[in-house]
Amino acid sequence: MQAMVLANPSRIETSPLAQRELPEPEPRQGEIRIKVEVCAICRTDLHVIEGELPPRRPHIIPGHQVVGIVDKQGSGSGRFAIGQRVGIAWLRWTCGKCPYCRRGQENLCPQALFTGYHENGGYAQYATVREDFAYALPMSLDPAAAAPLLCAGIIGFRALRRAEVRPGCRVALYGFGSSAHITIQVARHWKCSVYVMTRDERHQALARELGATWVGGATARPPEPIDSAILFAPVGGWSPRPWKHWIWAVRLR
Amino acid sequence: MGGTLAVAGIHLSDIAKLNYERHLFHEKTLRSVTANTRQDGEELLRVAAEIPIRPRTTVFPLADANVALQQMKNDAIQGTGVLSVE
Repeated sequence: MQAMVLANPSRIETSPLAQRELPEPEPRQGEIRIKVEVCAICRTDLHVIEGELPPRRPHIIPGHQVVGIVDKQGSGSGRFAIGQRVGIAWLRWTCGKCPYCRRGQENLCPQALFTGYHENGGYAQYATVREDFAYALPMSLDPAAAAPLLCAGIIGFRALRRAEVRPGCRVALYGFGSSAHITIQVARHWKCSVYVMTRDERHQALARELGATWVGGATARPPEPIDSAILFAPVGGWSPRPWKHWIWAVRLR
Repeated sequence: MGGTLAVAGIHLSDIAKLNYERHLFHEKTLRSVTANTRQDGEELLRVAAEIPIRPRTTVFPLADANVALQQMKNDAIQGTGVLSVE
């Protein structure tokens, strides 16, 4: 199969991903293999590729928003039929036994394994995953429209909850990339007023189009007090100065 | 007062020194977001179908992954970049 492989973590400007012909992976017990249709890209991929996250496996295939068609089952697998569309996301294994797993916080499992980081991801023609960590996706869905939901969407959704966003409240989004442009759609569905702070004019235009109440530059202050804010970190982080302003902007009415 | 700031990044530069009285007292809340549970995923997919969420995507061939990631780094992609695998 064709795959984009990370030989040595380095800056993306040096094109560190190399196209390689590799054997197709075989699904192990409890796993499925999918023929990949699309894989969305994410800033976390960049952190892996540029070495900001410590490397876990040499020659990794990145990518953790993978959509494809089940084409092979490992022994004992039967949750999905061959030919069914599924998604593979960042979280690919947890121990199921630790206190976090047992109280519904498997995202904090110290042994958790992640797709495209600990094990190969979706920048390839085939990918495998444990079937209990795959997501069923309807065949009617456009795969390219489904892929961004698998990290950008899920993380934004968890962030809305972590930020205690409630229907009708005022929400600030700092940064307006992949995740924020999906998150705003959920927030608008919940009838929230959304205030977007982002530097790029095209991102600002998209925010308006998606129903932002107010749009300003990256360090602009929302004109009204904000109940909940989500900071979507750009690559490499921002200067530390705006922190005070981010946290100051949130105050209940 | 009150209010909650959630940080949705896996990697970030240091947090500036905050002034306790101005920035945290009065029960302001500062939180991180770490990955997700499968339950989050299932719920988001349900909500996405109900709304329905329509991501804006720019599609690149798999072989152009380096280019796509550079464009994302430079903020040149609106919405999400997607690699198409043949």
